[in-house]
Amino acid sequence: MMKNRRGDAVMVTSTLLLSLMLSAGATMLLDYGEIKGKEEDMLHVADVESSMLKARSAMMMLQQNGDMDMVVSTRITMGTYGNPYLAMGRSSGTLNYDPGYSGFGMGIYYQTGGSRTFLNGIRGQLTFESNNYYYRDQNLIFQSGSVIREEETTSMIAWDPSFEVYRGENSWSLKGGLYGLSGSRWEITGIDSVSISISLEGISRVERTVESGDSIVLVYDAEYTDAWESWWSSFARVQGLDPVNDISITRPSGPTGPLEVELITLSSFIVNIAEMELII
Amino acid sequence: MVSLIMIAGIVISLLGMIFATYLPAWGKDNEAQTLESTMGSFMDLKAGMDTLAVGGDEGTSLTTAIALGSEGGPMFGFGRMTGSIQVDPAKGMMRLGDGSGIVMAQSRGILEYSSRNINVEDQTITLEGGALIREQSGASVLKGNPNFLVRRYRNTGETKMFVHMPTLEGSGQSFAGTSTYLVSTTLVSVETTEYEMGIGTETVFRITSEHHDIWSTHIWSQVIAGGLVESDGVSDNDFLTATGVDANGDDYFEITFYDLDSVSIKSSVYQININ
Repeated sequence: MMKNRRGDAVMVTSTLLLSLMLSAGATMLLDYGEIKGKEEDMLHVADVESSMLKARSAMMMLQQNGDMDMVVSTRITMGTYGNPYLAMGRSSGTLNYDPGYSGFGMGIYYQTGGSRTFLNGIRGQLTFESNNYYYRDQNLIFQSGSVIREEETTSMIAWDPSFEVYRGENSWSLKGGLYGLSGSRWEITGIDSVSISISLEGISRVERTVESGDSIVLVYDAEYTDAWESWWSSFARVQGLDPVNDISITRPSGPTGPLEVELITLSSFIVNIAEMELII
Repeated sequence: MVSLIMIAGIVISLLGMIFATYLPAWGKDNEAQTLESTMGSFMDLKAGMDTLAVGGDEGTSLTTAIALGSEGGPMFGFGRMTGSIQVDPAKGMMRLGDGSGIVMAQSRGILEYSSRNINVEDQTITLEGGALIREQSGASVLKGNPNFLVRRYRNTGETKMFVHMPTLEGSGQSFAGTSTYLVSTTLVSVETTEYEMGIGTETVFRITSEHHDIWSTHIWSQVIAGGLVESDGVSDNDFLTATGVDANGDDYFEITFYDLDSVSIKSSVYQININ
């Protein structure tokens, strides 16, 4: 009798210990899986951002060499690999190529007196919309050569457009490069890597000496004018430009109005514009 | 005693389920993930090589990390896979010449990766002539297009061809294993040559490749998109295609253009070192 009772006690204890271990292990796996999933989602968005920058490097190279024959392919991975051991779900993404004015348009104007003359403009954006399983969704938008990162309702310029300021004694000049997108609209959703072919369709240049009292006005008709407004404010501050006398930023009048950036005491404005086509 | 046997039975059932179901599934996922990562690396390599050719800065290098395989999962090593990578400077010959046999340009060399999987079908990834090709179960798909362009300009009526012909040079040594290798690609030389083709001059482009079917499909679609009309073998229109086996027993695809106005060839040479 004594021996049976001792044996029973051992078995019950073993069973209880086994169930406790299984429960604890399952809980740890689930928690760790979520942590790992969030980490993968964040790394994935960073990878997409890196791919967009490589695309910009390819555009710069094509523009600098005026090569309208070569096509450079770049990779964008749409989703995450997941983790089979932790039963992690795979996040996916959508890539949207919009060469029209509906997403982004920017016009360059010469302003004298009260009138404006249109000099040149670009349009088009490439948008990556994440569909994350664990981490909050982040969208990346390629506009005019810069990359905007949007998270929930906030957007910011993650990679600056290529503008440079050259200071003279009493004046300043602006030089830069802009990239417009042309061709047909497309959209793709998935998890795997896709190859995007980038080609140069056209090159133009705006080179203008600005007379005293005149100005150059950049008009942004875009979805993320908040990000552009914030960037121009920061750019002016870093470059030591007076926010009243050298540069004036006019906010959109409504939710869909344009943002206007007036470069007031500018002496010269030189911008190379490349028209690119992206095909999937 | 009975409880002990019952518990042992449950544990053995659990282990059996893991071994029979989960381990192969994990192995498959692990192998598929590694293959996807390797393809991503090859895509990055091709993008880098294209950019180097555009930049034209001879002596510039780029380094790409390519994982040949995977150590597999913990404890049981499920999903462990190996792969091999090799530069073969003799394969993937491309030749561009006129109908009389004069060669205007030629290139050769491929970078090839082959996987040795347990759970997933083996894959081969080949970078040849600027094209990135994935082959699995005897079927090939183009994952990165070569630079081959033929355009008929509506305003002038001129027909122009552009082709990038990259030569890949390497030691010919093969590397195998599960590790990640660094592939260093240096642009040795690049030059662009333009030829004005006379009236009635044929232009012949030939690629000798195991993947000639993929080349055939891609080039045909590019040429048709450029506005050219295929010859029906009776009347000479704009181009005619042919496939066959050469004197060495290698498959080839050939396209003959009848009246191109000009041909622009970007010839580049890359030195590939695998560390």
